[in-house]
Amino acid sequence: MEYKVKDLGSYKLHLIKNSDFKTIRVKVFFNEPIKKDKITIRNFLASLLVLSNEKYKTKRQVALKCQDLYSCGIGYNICRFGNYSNLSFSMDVLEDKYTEEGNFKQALEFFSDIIFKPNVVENAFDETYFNIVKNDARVALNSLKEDKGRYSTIRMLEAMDKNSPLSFRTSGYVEDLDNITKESLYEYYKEMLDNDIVDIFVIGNIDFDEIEKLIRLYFPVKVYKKITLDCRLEEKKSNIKRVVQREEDDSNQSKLAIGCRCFGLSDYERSYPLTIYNIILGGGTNSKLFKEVREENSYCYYINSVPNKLDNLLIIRAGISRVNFESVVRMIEDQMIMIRRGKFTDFDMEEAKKMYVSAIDEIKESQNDIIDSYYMMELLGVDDLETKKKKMLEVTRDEIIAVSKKIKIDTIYLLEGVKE
Amino acid sequence: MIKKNLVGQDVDVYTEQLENGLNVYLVPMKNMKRYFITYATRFGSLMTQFMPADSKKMEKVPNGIAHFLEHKMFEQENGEDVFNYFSKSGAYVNASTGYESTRYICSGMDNFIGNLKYLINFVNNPYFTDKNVEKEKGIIIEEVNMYKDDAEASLDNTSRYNLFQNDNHRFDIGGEVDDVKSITKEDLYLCYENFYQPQNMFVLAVGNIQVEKTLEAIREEFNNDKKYKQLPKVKYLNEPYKVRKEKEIVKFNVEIPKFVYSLKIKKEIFEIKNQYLIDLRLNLMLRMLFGSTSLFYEKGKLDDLFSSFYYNFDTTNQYIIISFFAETKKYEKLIELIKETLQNRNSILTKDDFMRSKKTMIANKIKASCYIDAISDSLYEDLINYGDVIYDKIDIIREISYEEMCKTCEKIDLDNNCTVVYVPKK
Repeated sequence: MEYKVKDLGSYKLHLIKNSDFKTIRVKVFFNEPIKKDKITIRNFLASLLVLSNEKYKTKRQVALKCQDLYSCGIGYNICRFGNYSNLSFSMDVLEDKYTEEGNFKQALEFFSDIIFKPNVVENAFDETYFNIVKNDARVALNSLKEDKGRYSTIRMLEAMDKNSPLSFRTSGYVEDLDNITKESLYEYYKEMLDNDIVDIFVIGNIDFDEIEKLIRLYFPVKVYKKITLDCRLEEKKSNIKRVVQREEDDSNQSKLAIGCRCFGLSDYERSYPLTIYNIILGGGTNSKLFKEVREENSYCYYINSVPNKLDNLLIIRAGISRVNFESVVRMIEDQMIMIRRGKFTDFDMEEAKKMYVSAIDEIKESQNDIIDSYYMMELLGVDDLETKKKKMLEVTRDEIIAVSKKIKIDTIYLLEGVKE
Repeated sequence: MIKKNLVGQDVDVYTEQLENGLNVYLVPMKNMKRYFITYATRFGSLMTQFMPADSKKMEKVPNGIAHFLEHKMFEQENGEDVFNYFSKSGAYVNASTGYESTRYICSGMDNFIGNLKYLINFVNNPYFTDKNVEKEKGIIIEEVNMYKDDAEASLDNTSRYNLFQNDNHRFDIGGEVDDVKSITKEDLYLCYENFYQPQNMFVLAVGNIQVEKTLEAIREEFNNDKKYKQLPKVKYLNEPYKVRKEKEIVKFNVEIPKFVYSLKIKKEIFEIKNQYLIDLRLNLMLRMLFGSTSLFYEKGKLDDLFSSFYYNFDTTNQYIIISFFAETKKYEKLIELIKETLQNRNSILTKDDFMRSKKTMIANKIKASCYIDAISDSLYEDLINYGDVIYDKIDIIREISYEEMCKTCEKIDLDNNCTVVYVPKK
């Protein structure tokens, strides 16, 4: 895999040559410091842009064009990296040798139209699709509670710290939706183009010079910007007394979400020992939580933990029966204490490392994952994949124990299934 | 081994049948570091009544038993933890149960031969005790409850229950809580002995593998046990044509109403033996009538008739089920529009659309052919749904004519349908 990054002034162009796939994938990242009251409008904008633009005004026309380009795929994704809101648009299309000469070039122009030629008249987005997106967004925001796993995690985070980005809802808020107008949306669109840090990635069996020419032609981002804010959230003190919150719900299963704060971790600890700690605790079917809570005590079907290093956070989730709530929480605490006391085997550690190395190698089998991993290097300055593997294999038992002592349960939330 | 090419996808499939009846499918893929192994049996939630080959007694086992069996296969007599073994090489292991099959999968990067043999070995050696069966019930009940709370899964279940009178498709794959509670180790052994037989099973391995070595390892693993054994006779009840219940409105824990509208169509009316051809023609039709490029979809969005919409396609041995799912506040209007679209299908299906849909289908197949998971899933579905790999799909799609598709579509009868709506409680 050959990788080249070129600073084009107003954005960086990243080119990756890789002939393991039959497609070429292009991904454009927009990154900006997150503001709670802009989350909804950012989501709104992204979903509208992929539905309708100046040339292809209706979703149907967009879909027809995609099919004409031999099933070219267009999509977007919004997520939060610590203090930043990241919006990416992506396009993937078969190489010309599987379609016809010029197909990729056409697809790239089409993709560029989606981002840069919105369906705007007199400084306002076209009304028809504006209303469609508004209706859909309202439904999605109002039905948040239907995804109980996600809902319980959000509620837990809000109980933990409702003012911090860590609890911001990635899809936005109904209250903000009402205030969005066709005009304010266009204002926001211009703001985004002017202020967001942009990175463009192209991966596939590509010729670097040719692609650079095409990208310069079709991606007219002009303004020069600079990253000013650290990605990582500022560390907060844990609540002195842990918060326990319960909410009743008309369902069979109860959803448990536990938020743990990590404090005083170094960059190295955050990237390496914390990862291994998490795999041992609740990262898979070989973890302590899975074995103890599910296999030994039959208290759940799923249980897992996920670290979020940018937020200094570790989240534990399980689907349980309400009557077992106290027992399950106690068991989770016991497992965390056991790691603190060094009660895990070298074997556990070796396996966790193997699991990590496998996950890293797996990245190479997806164009999208390859792009994302290079982007993380760009954005967070993390090590490259090979260095990551090497350093991870060198993590020691003492380092894991040291990290385990810097993790503390902060908030426990139970969406309590009370259906008989 | 016999080598055949998946037409147009640069992929070769090597096949062999062992003496004990086990079928082996091997797909080496250049450039890939990972492998994906499937060991599967054609035993799923539908098979709850059967007569063992060496007996005259018809056996009846509780619903959900295939799924329970899948969970319990991970138990080892020597107490070894299956998950432990695979994680030693950083590999992923899992299993899933469907209506007609159960599959055990493993994917990873290292220790391919060791993991392949271990996967086959643990599935070939059951170990059920009263105690370990009892212990599993809590876990499975939590799993069943999880799906019961999921509006879409529950809606789908209710709809199937209303579509069928006798067919086991009307029951959830995992069974009800009471079914799970009633299952014994004897039930499990009975099903295992009858359905986990080599001639009812296959091994499929895709990715970074060497054909000869893989086959040799599989042979070795079957050297001492698992001789050829005759299969039981499964009893499938005749399913009457009429749906059991045409309309039901259920109050459920949802914020926005959701519905399923389904058609139950007799397979025999198509007068085509080749199931793949029927599926292909109907899929093309559905794509053109209801897909993202359809006039239906555009009208639905412009008139705010749904926030989400998709269709699904399923077959049983006697019927084809076409289902439309939507989240909407205006379900009556939307169902009307679906019916109208189906009614007028002949005038909506144009030749231009047809050509474009074919082109899209072919492009999607080529796109998927560089992903081992996608190749693996596609071959697995072929083996379960059609009994064998369909090698020339791309040619079949290229050759199908507009007129043929229209002829098939004309035969669909729209009268036998069923609607289920989930509405908010408040």
